[in-house]
Amino acid sequence: MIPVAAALFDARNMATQEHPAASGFVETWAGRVKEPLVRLRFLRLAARLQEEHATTEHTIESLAQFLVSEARVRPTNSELREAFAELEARQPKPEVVEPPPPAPRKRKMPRTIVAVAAAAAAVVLVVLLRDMDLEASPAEDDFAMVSETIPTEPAGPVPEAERTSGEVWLVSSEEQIELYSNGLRVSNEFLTHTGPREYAVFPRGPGVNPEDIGEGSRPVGVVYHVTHSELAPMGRDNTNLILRQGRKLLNYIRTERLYNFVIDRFGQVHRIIPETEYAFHAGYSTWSHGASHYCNLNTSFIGVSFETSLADRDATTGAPVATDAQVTSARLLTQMIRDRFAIPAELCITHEMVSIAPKEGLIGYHTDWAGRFPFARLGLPDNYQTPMPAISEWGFRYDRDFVKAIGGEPWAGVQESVRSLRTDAKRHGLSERAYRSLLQRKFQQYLSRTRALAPQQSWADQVRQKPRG
Amino acid sequence: MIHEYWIFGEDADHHVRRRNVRMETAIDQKLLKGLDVGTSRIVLARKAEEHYQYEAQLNAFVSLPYSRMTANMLQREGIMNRVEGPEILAYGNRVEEFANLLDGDTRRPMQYGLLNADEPKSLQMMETALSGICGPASDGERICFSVPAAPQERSSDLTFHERTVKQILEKLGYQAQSLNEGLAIVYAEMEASNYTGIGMSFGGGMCNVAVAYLGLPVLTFATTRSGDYIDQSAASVSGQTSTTVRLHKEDKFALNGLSSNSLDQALGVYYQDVVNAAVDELERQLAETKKLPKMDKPVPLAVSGGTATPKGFADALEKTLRDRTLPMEISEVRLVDDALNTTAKGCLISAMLEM
Repeated sequence: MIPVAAALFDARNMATQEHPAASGFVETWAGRVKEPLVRLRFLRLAARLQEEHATTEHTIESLAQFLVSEARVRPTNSELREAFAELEARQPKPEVVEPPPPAPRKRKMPRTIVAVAAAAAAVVLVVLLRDMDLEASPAEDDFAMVSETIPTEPAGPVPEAERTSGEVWLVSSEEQIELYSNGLRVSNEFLTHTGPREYAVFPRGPGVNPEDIGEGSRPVGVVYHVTHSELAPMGRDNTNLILRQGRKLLNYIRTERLYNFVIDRFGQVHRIIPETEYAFHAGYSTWSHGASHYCNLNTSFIGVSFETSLADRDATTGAPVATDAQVTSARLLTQMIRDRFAIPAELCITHEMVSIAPKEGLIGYHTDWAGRFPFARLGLPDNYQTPMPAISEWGFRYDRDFVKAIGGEPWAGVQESVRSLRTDAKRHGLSERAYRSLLQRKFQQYLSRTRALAPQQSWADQVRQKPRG
Repeated sequence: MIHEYWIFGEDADHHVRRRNVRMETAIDQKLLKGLDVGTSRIVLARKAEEHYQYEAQLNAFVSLPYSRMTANMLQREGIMNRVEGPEILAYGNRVEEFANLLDGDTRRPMQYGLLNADEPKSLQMMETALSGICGPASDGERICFSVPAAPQERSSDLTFHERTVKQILEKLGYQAQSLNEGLAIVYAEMEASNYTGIGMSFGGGMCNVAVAYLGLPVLTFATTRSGDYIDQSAASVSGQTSTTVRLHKEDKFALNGLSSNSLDQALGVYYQDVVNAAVDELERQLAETKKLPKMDKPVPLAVSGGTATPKGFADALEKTLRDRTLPMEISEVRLVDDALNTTAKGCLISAMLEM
C-alpha cells in the first residue's frame, strides 16, 4: 500500500464538495449486484437521481425497484430504513427565519366609524359591479371578472367498496413479482424509468390570483386508457399468440414509456414506469378538481392501460372489451394506488374525459373508452356524471366526429358541462362563442405556462401525440 | 432487433385503421461495438456469447506510386487502401513492411491522440480506416469510441477530433457515442472496487488518466508524453528511425535499470520521463480539484496501453507514486492483463450500458 499524508487528507476532506453518488448505502447495495454491467447501470441511476435532486422517497423507491427488476435482489427492511435515514440526514436544513419585529401600535379607530366605513365600501363595490358594462368582445383584462364554476359532486350513490377502501400494503417482492395485501400481483419484468413528477398546479375558484401557481410532485389521480393493440380472438387455442402479442406490446410500451401500468388480457398487471415518475400517457389533456386545475396530465396522473381496443367492442354495451380478469386486476390496482397516494375516487377518470386538441378547441382527441368505462366494477362512482372542465371552464367543444367515434350521444358529464357553459355565458352577458373564446385564451396561457415549467416533457408530449384513436 | 407491430385505431370516419410501427426491443449484444481510436492502433471490440473479440489495425499508412499491379496486389492481400490520383495510400498492419522496403517512415493520421493537423490526408485515411475496420452498420447498431481528455492547450482540437470521428461513424450508419479513454480502463478493470479507482492508459500519442468514483469520472486529464515521445526522443539521441525504435521497444526492451545498450539506455531515460510527467500531473490535479469525494478505502490504479507493456513499467510507476503526496491511498498499481485491448473493451461496456 502506498502511504498517504494523513494531515493533507483531512484538510482535503474539509474542502471537498458532495459527489453525486457519494452515499454509503449506494455502495452497499451496488455490492450486492453480481452482474458487473447491471451494477454499473445501478450506479449511474443513483448518480442521476442525486444530480436531479430527487426526493428521498423517489430515490430509494427507484433504486430498490431497479435492484428487484434488474438484479433480482431485494433490499431488506433494515437496509431501506438505513438508506432513508442517510438520505434524510443529507437534506439541507430549512433556514431559521427570525419573526419580524412587532409593528408599532396604532391608535384604534372607534368601532362605529369602522363599521360605517366598511358598509359604505361594500355599497360602492356592489354598485360598481352591477353597472359594469361587459363588452361583446371581451378584452384580456376581463379575465378577472369571469367567475369560475365549481362542478357539483358526482351524482349517484357511492359504492360500498369506494367508501370503505382499506389499507393496502406490499406483502412480498420476489422474482420481479410484488404481492399486495389485497391480492394484487404486479410484475416488474418490463420496468423502466423516466424522471420524477414535477407539475404546475393552477389556482381554481372565484377571486383567485391566476399567478398563484403551485407545484406538485405526487400523483393526484389515475387516467385509464386502452392500448388499441392487435388482439387475437380470446380462446385456449390462441394462448401462445395472445402471449406473444402481449410481450410485443409491453416491449413497445416500455421503449416508448407510454404508461405507468398495463393490464394484459389475462389480468396480469405490469408496472412499466414507477408511480412516482411520469409516463407519456395523456398528451394534451386537462382536468380540474377542488381548488386546482391540471394541464397535460402525464406528470400529475398515473396512466393505467388495458390491453384492448375500440375495434373489439362489446356487442351490447359498445364498450371496448375488457376481460373479467382485467377488470378484477384493475380494481385491485386502483385500490392500491388510491391507498398509497390518498387519491379520491372522483379523480379516477378515463382518457376520453381529459383528452383535448388545443389548436382546434375540441375535446376527445382520444376516445379510448368511448364513455363506457366500467367504473362501478372497479368500485368507483360513475365519474361520467362529472361535468368536464375542458368544456365548462375552458370553452372546449365537441364535433360530429367525436359523436361518431364514441358511437352515440356523449355521456352525462359532457352534456351537463355544455349546459353549464351556456348558463355562465348568459350570466356574463356574452354570447356563447365570445365566452368560449375568453375561456380558451385563458387556457392557452396556462398551457404555455405548463410548457415553460417542463419543456422537455411538453416536447415529448407533442412528439407522442398519436393520431386520433 | 426491430419488430413490425400493428396498432389498430379508429379514424374520424369510424374506420378501423391499422398502423405499422417499427419498434426496437432489447438491443442484441451483437449490435454493439467498442472502438479504441488510438494514435498508433485502432482496436475494435465485440462480444460473442461470453467472450470478447478484438480486431486491431496499425493506425498508419504509406504512399505508393499507383499501378494496376500494385492495386491488385493490395486487394489480393486484403490491405486497406485508397487511390488518390497518382498514388495509392495503403493503410493498416502491413504498411510497415512497405515503409521498410521504401526505407522511409509510415505516415500517421493521428498525432498525440488527436487528428494530425500536419498530415494533409488525415481525414481521408481516418475514414478509410474506420470504414475498413468497423464496416457499415446493421440496423440499430451502436458503437462507443474512445476520446482522450483535452490537453490544456488543445481543447478545440479535441472538439474537432471527436466530432469528426463521430461523423464518420454516423455516416457508416452507427449510433455513435464517445467515452474518455481513462474511464474506459475503469469500466473494463474495476468491477471489484465498484468502479472506483484510477485508470491510466499509456498509448502512442498520449497518457490518459481518469479518477472515478462509483463509475462517475471525478477527474480526467491527459499528458502528451507517451509512446511517440519516447520513440522520437530516443531516435533523436540514437540516430535510429522512430519506427525502428518502436519495434525494438515492443520486442526486447525492459525497464530494469542501467543498460549497456545505448538505445535501451535512452529508452529507459525517456520512459522515466513519461512516468514522471504523468505522476506530476496527477499530483497537481488532485491537489487542485474541488470535486474529490471522501474515499474511505484505498483505491486501485490500473495501467494499460501499449507503452505500459515493457517489463518493469508498473513497478517504476509505483515507485514514483510512493515518493509523492496524494490525497487518497492507492491499494495497488497493476498492469491489466490485456493492455492492448482494454480501452476497446471499456468502450464496448459503455455501449452495453445503454442497452
